[in-house]
Amino acid sequence: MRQGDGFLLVLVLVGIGLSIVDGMTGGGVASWFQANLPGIAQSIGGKLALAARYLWPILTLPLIMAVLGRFIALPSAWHSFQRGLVGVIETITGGFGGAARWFALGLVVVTATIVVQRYVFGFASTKLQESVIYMHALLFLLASASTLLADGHVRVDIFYSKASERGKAWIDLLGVYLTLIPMSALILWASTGYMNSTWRILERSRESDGLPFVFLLKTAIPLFAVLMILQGIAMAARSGLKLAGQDTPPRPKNLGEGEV
Amino acid sequence: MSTFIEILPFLMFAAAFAALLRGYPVAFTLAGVALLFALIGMALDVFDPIHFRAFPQRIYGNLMEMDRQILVAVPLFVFMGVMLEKSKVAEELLEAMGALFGTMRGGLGISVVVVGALLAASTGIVGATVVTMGLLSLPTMLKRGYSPELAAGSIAASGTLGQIIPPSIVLVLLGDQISNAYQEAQRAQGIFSPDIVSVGDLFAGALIPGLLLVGLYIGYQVFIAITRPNSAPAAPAPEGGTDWGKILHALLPPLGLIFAVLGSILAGLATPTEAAGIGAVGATFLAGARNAGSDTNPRLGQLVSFVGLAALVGLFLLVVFANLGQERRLFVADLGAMCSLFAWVLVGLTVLGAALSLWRLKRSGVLDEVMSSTANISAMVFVILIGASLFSLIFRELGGDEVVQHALEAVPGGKWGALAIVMLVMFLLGFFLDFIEITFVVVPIVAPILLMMGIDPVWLGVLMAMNLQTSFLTPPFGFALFYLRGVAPPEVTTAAIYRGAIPFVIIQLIGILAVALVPWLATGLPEWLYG
Repeated sequence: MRQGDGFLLVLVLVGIGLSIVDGMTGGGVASWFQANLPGIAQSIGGKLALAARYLWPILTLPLIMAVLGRFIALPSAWHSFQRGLVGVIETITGGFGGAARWFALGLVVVTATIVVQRYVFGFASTKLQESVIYMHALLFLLASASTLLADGHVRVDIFYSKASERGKAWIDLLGVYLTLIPMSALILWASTGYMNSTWRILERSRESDGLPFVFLLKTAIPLFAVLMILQGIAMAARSGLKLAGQDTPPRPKNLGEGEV
Repeated sequence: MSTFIEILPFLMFAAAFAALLRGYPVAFTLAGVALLFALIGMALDVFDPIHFRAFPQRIYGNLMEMDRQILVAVPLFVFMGVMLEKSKVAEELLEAMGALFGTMRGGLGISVVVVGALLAASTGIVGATVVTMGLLSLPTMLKRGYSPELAAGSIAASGTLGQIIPPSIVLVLLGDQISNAYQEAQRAQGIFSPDIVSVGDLFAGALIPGLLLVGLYIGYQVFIAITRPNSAPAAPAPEGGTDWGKILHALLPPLGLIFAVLGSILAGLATPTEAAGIGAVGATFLAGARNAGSDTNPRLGQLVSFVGLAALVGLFLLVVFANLGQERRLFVADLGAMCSLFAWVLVGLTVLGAALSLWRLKRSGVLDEVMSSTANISAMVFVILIGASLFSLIFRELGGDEVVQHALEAVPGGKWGALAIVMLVMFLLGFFLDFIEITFVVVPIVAPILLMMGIDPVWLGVLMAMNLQTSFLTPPFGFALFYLRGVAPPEVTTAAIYRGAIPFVIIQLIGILAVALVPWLATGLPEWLYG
């Protein structure tokens, strides 16, 4: 098993378990969710928003320390803290990416199934059709952070590839704070109302025979933003370590390549 | 102050360009620059932050809504391409074509072009094609006495065919943008039952121009072989004659896939997404049957994979047969109980073969590599679309649309002048930016304006695709040249690669000019196929 496989397995098992219980209780789980989920989500969302409001300055710490490290020698405890931080974050983002990669196979299998159903047996399932879009969206949204880790997001590297290691570290550090985090923060900020309205009604497909999980699909957008901020912090910490002349943790293997 | 506001969109474009050159990932850089100019716009009171609220909705609507099925073709084609790459299709093709043509003067050059075209129509991944051919063909060609210029130029140029020969990821993304732009243009003109142009139209439109380029490349190889025989000598004949079995083994898989995938799209039988899904399964069967990624290939597993593949082909033929000559779509199930039972048996065998192939590929690690690469490339492409959609959102709010429109209308020469200037800008941008950025940033801004001037959408799409392909080949910044430089042996100098690319750039320009002057080359096939 690779990174993320277990995570995905647990999610799938929970999903199957819930639907079995739902079937045995005659829709009990669904109606419980219908009744209670919006309230729970509301209170969790409110707490998250509050936490974000007060805790965001922490995000700038790697930047401040990296710039500071230009002038003074930082204590080695900070460096080992950063290494630990990078390890924790990359386990999380790598786990999401590892789980999401299975959606690539899922897309192939389900698309082929749909084609055979449609052309051979003249039969179409809206749920299956919609699951393709779900997998497509989750694939790129959840794998984006681990793609950043694998350096798979395309760069204009005419000058970057010729830059020194320190130069690259500066570009990455400033890029995180000038572009990556602002973009992700904008998505998070703009998502609050969006999430509110979709969770309040537990939005489902517009088709009556579609999947009832549109609210979860839409939640993948702020989740994408959170994962990108996390991986951005890890990227900044890596750059900070490089600028301070410290060893950086090795990049995890098995991330795959990415070029077209 | 008001002039400052008027040039704000231009400044935004210039700033994005300058920022991109720093080398931070494109997707985020575009978003960062957009945010900066949104702040400037807010300070000048020309941008209302309420528009930010629409951003998550835009991400959802652009990428995740049910009617965006066409985008799913991208990960599916990537999966298919990476899977074929891992099953060493390119290597076998090069060897087989080398054996077939190598004994002629100029033959190795021709075989590189043919292999490039076949890979273009099956895998469509430019970087991988250039790298593989650079690693395998370049040393062989040099050893046989080819001039380094000709060898390098042929490989780089043949690799870029992946962009223009359908099915290609470039054409899916470009076709989607052109399709949106065309609807927007017609709405703006007050046409309320608009024509629709699809990715399938663009595939059909690009086919003849793509083959035209292949023909011109081969013609150039022949021309060189005749006029400068020393640059392209013949290889000695292989011992024991030509091994036709080996050649068929190399040729059949890509040809079969091309026939099934491209054929069913062009025949209007399946959407590009559906065809890509079947192509990906077909590629998985091939990789499974070859036991890609491991050294041994036990007979039994090979047999089960092949039976599965044969069953899939059988299902395909059954569908084609059921629809043959029918005015309305028939399903196999309508043909009677026996047919239905037969179909179920075929489905069973396909599932069995697929399961075994996947298990083999999982064990050898190939499946994990393919899934990870598909995830990475998919994320790379679509996150750029997220960044670019923020960019164009703010560009429009700052009045960029009108600025560009006035500028294009002011160009002398009407639609031809406007088209020429857009093509020139795209060509220049193509030196620095990948096709994805250009497609997502430039096309949505300029295409509606050009289409409103009465330019045919398929023709425009094909010209843009050929144009971008050319700029990827043009020294000194062409991407294909970088890929080749990365794998070429040191005795092939960078200058030689540049000199070798120039004749092919000229060929490309001839091709573009031909399509520009004879629009039928692009529009003829889609009109004939789809009416």
